[in-house]
Amino acid sequence: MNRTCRALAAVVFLLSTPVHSQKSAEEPVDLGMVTRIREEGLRHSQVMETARHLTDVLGPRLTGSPQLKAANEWTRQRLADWGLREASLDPYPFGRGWSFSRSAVHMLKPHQLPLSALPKAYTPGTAGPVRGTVLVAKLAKEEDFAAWRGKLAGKIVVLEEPADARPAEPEPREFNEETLRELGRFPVPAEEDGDFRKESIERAKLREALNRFLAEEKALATIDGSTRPWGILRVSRGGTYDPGLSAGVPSLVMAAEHYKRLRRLVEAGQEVELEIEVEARYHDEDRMAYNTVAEIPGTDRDGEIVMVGAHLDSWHGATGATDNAAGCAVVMEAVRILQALGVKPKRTIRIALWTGEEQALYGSNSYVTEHFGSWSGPEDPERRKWLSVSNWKGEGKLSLLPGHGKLSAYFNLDNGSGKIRGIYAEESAAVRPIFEAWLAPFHDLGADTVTLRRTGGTDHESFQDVGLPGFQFIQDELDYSARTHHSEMDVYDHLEREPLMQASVVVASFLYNAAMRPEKLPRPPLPRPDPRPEPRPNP
Amino acid sequence: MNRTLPVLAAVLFLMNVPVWAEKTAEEPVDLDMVTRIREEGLHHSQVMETVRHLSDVLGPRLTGSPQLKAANEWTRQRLAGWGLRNAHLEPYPFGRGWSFSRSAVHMLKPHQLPLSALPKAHTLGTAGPVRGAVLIAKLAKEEDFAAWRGKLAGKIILMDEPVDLDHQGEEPEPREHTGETLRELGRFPVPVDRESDGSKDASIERAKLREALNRFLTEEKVLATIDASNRPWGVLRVGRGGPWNPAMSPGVPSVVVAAEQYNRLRRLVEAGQEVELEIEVEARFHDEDHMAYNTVAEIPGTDRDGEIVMAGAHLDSWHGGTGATDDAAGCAVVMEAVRILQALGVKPRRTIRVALWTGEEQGLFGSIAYVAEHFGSWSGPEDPERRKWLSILNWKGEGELALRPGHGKLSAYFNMDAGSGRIRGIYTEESAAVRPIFEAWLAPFHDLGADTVTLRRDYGTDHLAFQDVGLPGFHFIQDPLDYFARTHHSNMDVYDHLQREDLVQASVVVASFLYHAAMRPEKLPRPNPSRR
Repeated sequence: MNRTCRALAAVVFLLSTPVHSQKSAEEPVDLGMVTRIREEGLRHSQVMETARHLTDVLGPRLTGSPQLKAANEWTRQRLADWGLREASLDPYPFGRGWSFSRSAVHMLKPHQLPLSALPKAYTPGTAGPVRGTVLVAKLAKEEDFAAWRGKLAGKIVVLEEPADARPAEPEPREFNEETLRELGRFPVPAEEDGDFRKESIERAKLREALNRFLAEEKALATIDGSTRPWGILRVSRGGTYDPGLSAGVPSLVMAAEHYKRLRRLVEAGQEVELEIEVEARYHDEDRMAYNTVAEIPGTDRDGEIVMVGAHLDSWHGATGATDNAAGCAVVMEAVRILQALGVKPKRTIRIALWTGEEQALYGSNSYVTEHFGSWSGPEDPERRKWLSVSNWKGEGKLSLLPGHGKLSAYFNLDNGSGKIRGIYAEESAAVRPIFEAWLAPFHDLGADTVTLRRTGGTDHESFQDVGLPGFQFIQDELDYSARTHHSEMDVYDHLEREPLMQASVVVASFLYNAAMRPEKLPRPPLPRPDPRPEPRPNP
Repeated sequence: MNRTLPVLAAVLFLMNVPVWAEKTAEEPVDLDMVTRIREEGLHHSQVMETVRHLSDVLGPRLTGSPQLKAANEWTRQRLAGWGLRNAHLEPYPFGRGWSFSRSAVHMLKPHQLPLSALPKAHTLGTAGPVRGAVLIAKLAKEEDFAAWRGKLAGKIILMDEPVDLDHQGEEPEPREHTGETLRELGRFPVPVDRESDGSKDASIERAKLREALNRFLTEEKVLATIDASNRPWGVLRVGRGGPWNPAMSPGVPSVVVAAEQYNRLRRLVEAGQEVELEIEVEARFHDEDHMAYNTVAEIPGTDRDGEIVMAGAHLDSWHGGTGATDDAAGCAVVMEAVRILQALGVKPRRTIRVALWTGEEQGLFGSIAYVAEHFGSWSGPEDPERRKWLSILNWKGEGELALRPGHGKLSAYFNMDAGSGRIRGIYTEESAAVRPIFEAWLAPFHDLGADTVTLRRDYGTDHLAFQDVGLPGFHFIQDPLDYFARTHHSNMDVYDHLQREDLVQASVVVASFLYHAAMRPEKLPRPNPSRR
């Protein structure tokens, strides 16, 4: 049936776009190898055992934490044990590490009750249990600070948020034919409104100013509300991992329901007192972070490679199961499958487990800089200081390394535990028919959609930013955005076994096809320097 | 439109059941009063302010806790402040009170991470933070104990099987009734044979096992036990652990952990990993007053025959949230209903009495004590052993039913205890005679979504205390919302999960039911006398 489908597809293409369809018709797929990959991946999967170890045993894996280093070491060892070569850790400069070991918040007045809260990453702990009264303050921009000067010492500051942060209705857990068809339609890019780089610089500066202000004012702690309902704690960074910046004061995220109750009580004039105990520490003994890298060497001597990756780091509130132990387990399983089948690829198949992704794609960015190319970044020292390196695309000059020409493709997996439904072609019309051919043997497993759309927010962008073909798969949503993403519920129990098995065989097959293809994959155009428009004045 | 509907209904009834239909046609509804009740309740509602105070300010209201007594006092004053008469607290013997002020559980090995956990009610606190290794022990019946003797000292025990987190089935009911689900509710399932269900004996066995287990765990010097929450996504569903009876063993510290985290602990232990936890629970028993209290107040009737109509909800809650949907919502609605009537200057023929029960969560203790005091009671089992272990909740049909003179004076009791959902109708508890009356009373509220009268019975709350002695006690049908899926007995039973419009709607329906029950020429038809 898969053969028939493809033949039909080719006929359809022939009728409308002959050149395109010729390529499609030519794209070879080794169905014998697909059969073997499916057999190994669907009948002898180890993906759940890998995911279980990454989550249950290794636990949260914040960049810079000792636990992430343990995860680097375990994955390196595991990949080496499976027979991959050159299994190693690839260092890059990161900053201060951080970990926490205790978090307990109790209401003392108007009565005693534990509250559900977790510290933001990279914020200082408290000096044991500390007690203070609660006040609600709006500190959303620097002009807000003056009104609060001299009033915050010893207080617990509940930060007033601009609006109800409750998300809209969650997306459907799984794609259907209609939503996949919609994803296949390409929206003509709208005119960019505003300058996201300027906004991100302003946010970074405000964060620093706020941290300094709160520290100067000797605020006891700050509390934000979680942006998910039903007690789910969605918590990421506060403070800073940059030793040159202010870490601020202890900062926590509280269950939305508990946060709102504090606000209602304070607004009704009730005296509210809390006790907060956070035990947290910075790790300054090693300011490097590490990617885990390993490979199945290629038989051709020209040094061409195909890469696959996912990020090993997570936030700290849970065990980073869907973000992104799932992706790591799948890409590890994909290379395990190929290794177990004794595949001898023409091109080297290299796997990278990135870190620093949650902070700003640091691991993949550094790896791409080291091996393929990079932007020189802003010249203005102030802009260079505040603009994250993940936003340097188009800033300064793009310089390419010899390795740039050797990378055929990079495949990324970072959208939770959902099965693969297709792939984003990142506007490459030339890649589309190739991916369509590669997906054909997996239509019966639910993977059949190639869209020219781009997707953002994860490590394939580091490759795209320097003009390399980096791709991310389309996955079913499951509970990702609604509940697990960056939350304390991002745990093993919310992984789904069958989708992870399915994803593993699709990724394995893509890697094999990319490694064996006569030509490298078509390249995207090199990105142009950004004219960096000033944002339009507000109407 | 409201006037037309009952007439149409009456015509329909006439066509097949003439006697019944006649009664329907006769049932008077004061539509001017309905208009005034809707005006006061829909446009000048205070129900959210009441429920905010009950949940946010007063907090959890476990029976026996000082906070519940504060809630008794606040509601008494509030009702008196609105002009109700005879606002007072009615005591009954309960047992030891309990409250907790601190709960923090941290994993120490294989690495350090806070866990989400709350103590079970009426269990002991720890002596500060205590640390111990975790093991899995199945102690589901007394025969299981021997294998573990001598092996549990200083250990933290996982008591439950892993929780099956069924991703698909986690929201079993629709949040709101539809025409179809309401029609289904209107169909009466012929009762299955319950002669041999043995539920009373099973409850006695459970009570005995609980006591034996608590004694065993104490003797073995177990550090603490851990159960799993039976709701997914970190929602902590936590009720009782130890006893409020001072003669029984309180056992050892006992906490409920989030299902996902519990499953992880089990997986780690089963994989041979060393798991160590630190648990700190600060909890205390309150022995200064072994009584509990119902809050009672009334709008006096103008007739001198002493007949009354009652409405109630339970003021007590579990301790992990603020008991917003269970049952501050019901309390706020019945309080609002009498506030509306009081604000309208209603002078009812029968006395309208509101009761805010306590001890409901433990076994309807407050309503049973009140009913025994005023209306009637079962004498209970004669066998002292059975009498000791069988909860008074299950005494219906045990011994003799003795009625008090007040029994003949109660026209009806209306109960609210199914969360924050709007009223969609009412359970008539198998009274065919009451059905047409309620249908007439609901007619002016069809446009607010309340239109279903079912002969089915409903269970699990305080109207049972009335039904058990042959009194007409009723419970409303409400939209489920998130009640059983997430808020019921959980740490997420908080103000934010209340729905204002639904509570406003419920208040006017209850007010109108109370008014019409109070003004009706006859008392409501009585249920058949209870039999053994």
